[in-house]
Amino acid sequence: MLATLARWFGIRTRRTFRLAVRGMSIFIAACGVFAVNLLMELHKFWWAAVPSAVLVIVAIVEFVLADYLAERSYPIATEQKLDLLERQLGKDAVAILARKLDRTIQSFQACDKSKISGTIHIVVELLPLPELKTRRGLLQLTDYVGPYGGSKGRITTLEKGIVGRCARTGKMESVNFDDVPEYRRRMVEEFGFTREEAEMHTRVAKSYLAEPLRLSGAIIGVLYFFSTEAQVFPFASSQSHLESQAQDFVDVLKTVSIV
Amino acid sequence: MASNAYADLAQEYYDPFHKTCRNFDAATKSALARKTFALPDAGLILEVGCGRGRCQEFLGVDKNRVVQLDSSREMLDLTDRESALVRILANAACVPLFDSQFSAVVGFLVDSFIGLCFFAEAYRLLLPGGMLLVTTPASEWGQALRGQQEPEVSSARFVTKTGQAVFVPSTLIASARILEMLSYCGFQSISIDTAPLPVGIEPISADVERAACIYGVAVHELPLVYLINATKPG
Repeated sequence: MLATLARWFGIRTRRTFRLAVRGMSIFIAACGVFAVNLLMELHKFWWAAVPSAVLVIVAIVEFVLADYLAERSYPIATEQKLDLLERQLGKDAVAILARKLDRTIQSFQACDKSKISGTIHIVVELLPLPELKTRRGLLQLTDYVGPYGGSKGRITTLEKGIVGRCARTGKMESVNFDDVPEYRRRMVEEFGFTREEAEMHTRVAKSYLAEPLRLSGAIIGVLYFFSTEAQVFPFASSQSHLESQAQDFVDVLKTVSIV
Repeated sequence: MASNAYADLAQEYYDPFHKTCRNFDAATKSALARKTFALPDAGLILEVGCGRGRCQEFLGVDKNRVVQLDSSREMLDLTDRESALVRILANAACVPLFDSQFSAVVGFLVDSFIGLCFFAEAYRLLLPGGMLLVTTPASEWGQALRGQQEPEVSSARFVTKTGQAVFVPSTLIASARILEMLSYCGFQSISIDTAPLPVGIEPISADVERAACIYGVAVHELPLVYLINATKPG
């Protein structure tokens, strides 16, 4: 719920989340201090305890809870990637990657290109769990290019989805669904999602493609495309063409110091 | 394996109650009668999306040459059906058989699985010189009824005898795009013929009449079925 609320307010990174909480805390604290002073002047000492309590709560939220929530939602390693993208590289790098994604989509053949959406995911470290000391996930690096899909910053674990499967196997992966019931069933049975998670995704898509991004033999990310047209992938592009496109993306990511 | 959208429909799919399907059958027969093509006279024939099987009815081929394939267990289980060498439960876009084994891949009303993957799979399964022969509802007919928005654009609505609405996957592709797909997959000698409903066929489906009305043409002038014929280079 918190994540949904944050997204609703346009908060997608640790930095914006912390800034938002800090700004809200300062505003509430200022109001609280004013109220305490006012009530003290009026000799309503017991009533002054109410805004004083609010001040204590705000202090706990700002100095304890906000850091905990930020750490939980936006792990440092992931945040560093987003910071690099957003702070150091700015919009130019995002625009370069988006243009490149669009050119890749336009290079697909024998299909309706206007129905294809695409993005890039990169492998990031996630906070360890008690039973899992090292944990990796996939961070959506750019907004989707194309008619469907969400915005950057989304994180999925390697156990989920065709993107996770691609990052695990290191091979090009594709999947086609005939209809929504088949999508719902296979997302749960084959792709590691719960029914609720499957419902949150774009269900009109029918054909999916994921191509690994490699650097020195290691999988560093995944190129991801989907189409609302049936049976587009994997045949809309040759394997050699896809691999060459993936290498171009790796070169761009290297140049802008994302990997 | 694809979801079995045809499970609720199988027992009555071939019933005269489903007038649109019967109109498609009439258009298919008429198109096949007009077409002069030579189906290979030897080798196995894979009938994709076979339902109860139409190879002998439409093409008059020997049952011992026919391998029937459908992704619906209920369709393959229909008792009133054409005989075949073997029946396979599988998706036509992902057939669990080895390459280059069939002299022909045929299918009648393949809109539930038509697409780039199906054409690529048919190409893989065909022997060099083998023939692809399929029919599918004309996109001109469907666009008039379905519009452009998902999911309506890629599903067909059947109303069963009990009044239940059943939606099944149905992709309608313009003939120019089909041509592009077939060429891209490597097929040659590609022809796509458009067939309307023959004159004298009764009853005419309300969906056919409505589409003709939208275009302002007579029902017998409305493109109803594409007959697609292509060859894998020898």
